[in-house]
Amino acid sequence: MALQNWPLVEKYPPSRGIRLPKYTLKELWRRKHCYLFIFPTMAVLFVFLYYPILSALVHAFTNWDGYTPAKYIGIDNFIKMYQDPDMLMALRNMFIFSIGHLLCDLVTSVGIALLLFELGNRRINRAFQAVFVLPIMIPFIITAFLWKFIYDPQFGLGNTILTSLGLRPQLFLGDPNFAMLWLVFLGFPWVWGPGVLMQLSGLHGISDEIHDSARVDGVNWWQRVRKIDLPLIIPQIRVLAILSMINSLQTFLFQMVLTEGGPSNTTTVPGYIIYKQGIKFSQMGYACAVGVVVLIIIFITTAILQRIGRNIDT
Amino acid sequence: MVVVKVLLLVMAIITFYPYLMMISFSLKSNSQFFQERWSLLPPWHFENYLASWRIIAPYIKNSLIISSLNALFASILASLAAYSFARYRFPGHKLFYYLIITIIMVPNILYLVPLFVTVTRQLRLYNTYFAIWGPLVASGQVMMIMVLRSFYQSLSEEIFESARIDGASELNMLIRIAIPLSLPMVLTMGLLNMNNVWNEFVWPLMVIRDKQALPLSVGIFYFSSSVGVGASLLRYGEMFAGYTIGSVPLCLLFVLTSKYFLKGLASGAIKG
Repeated sequence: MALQNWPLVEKYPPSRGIRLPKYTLKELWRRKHCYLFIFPTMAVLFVFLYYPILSALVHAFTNWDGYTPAKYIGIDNFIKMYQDPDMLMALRNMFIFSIGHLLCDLVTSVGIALLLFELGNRRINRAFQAVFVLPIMIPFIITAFLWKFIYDPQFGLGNTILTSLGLRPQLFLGDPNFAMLWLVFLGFPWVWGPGVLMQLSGLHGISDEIHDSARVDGVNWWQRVRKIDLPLIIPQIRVLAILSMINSLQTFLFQMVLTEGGPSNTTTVPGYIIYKQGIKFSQMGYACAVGVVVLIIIFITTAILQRIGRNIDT
Repeated sequence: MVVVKVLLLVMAIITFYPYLMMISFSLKSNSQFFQERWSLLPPWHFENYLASWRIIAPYIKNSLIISSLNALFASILASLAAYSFARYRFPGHKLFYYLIITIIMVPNILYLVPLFVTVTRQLRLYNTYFAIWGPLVASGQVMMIMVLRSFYQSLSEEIFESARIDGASELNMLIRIAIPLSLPMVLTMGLLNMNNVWNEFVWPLMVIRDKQALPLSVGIFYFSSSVGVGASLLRYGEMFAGYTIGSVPLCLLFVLTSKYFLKGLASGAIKG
């Protein structure tokens, strides 16, 4: 039902035929319950989200340190960022991490969804779905620590497997060159339950006629997947891509818990820089400025992802 | 078809392998850990669980309190707001709704620092659970509002018409009609919210000072550094036992509600 067709909540019908909301105080008071219902939500949002966001946008141009009153310093923070080698390393790592995770997430989610789609059988299908969704219920910290152990050069599973295959044992997270790649690898095989379910529901949304006519025409499995299934679930893939990017562009949990910025700052990310500079060193203005940069990057990335989907759509 | 099942089984095993490893390590004593690390033979040392339970249990209790109340608050606020957005047309409804859904794109690290200052200095909520509930309810309800709004829009108008004729007030209609109908959806989203709050690490680390009041995520962090690698007394068995205990609560919750939860997830809890 379109919103326009619903009856307005009114005790007295309007005297004219056209139902236009009148922006008079009396009309607003008559609709007070509308506003009262959204008041708690908006209040909480304002205090804990809008106000800090505005504060961050403003303080990005100041030298705030949380104690002394902030003084406007123009774009000094951004210039400092440009010259900071840590920041460049952080940006590089952020892209490696997010694009790496994007590929892993997309491939595994779509792959497993395709397999589940082939299965068809109800009960086994649901059993597998439960199996793949269960890991998200295990706290992230525990997974991170498990993988810290796996990556332990002396006792870990990683080196045990590598040496038994005849390869050289690695330093993993202690290796300045490849620590970031090992962080991306963390969580193998990157199965994210809700993502799988999302793609699966997209596959179920493809009408059976298309599949039937494809089968009649004699296409094999791979052709069907490439030419029919994948293009038709582009909306779901796009949603998953955006969710994955928004999440991985910000996270710095791994850095905090596992590497503290990595062997000589090689795994630092902007989120970690914000935390370190803002909370530990009280350089809050600088931290806000870094946050603004991350915000811009996320906006651009999301816009690009929306576009890509649309091109393939048409 | 067999190939499909085998592939899925292989993926499932690889996915769970680290956790199986965790469970197997939790039953070893230190000497077993160093000498026969990869074997699964008895003797199995269940006393590791007793030792780490004493440390982990308070954290689990804290996490349960924090996340369940958070889900509750977020559900209440979201139901109210979604109902209003779905059924009423009032000046500003589009504006407020767009304001809400654009929040999703804003990275939480942007406002992390100012939020900390706001919560600790201006609201003086440092070291209370409200410091966690405030921001997490705010961001958690956004998703709920989006989903619940489309759900409420799908309800037919007749139920509400007849209720209005019977003399129900707006609030009554919400409480007695809309909310009971949306309970499955609300429960699913509540569970997802609980999971998100349970996983929050950085924020509780920043705003909670008392060690006994910490949620599980931060508690495990301190626990790991006290008995695990880098500690003076390496007790690997207990460390992994602690991890295992920490994984249990949410998994149990999921197992109990899995049929519900999967249906809710697939049907629309994750929209575009």
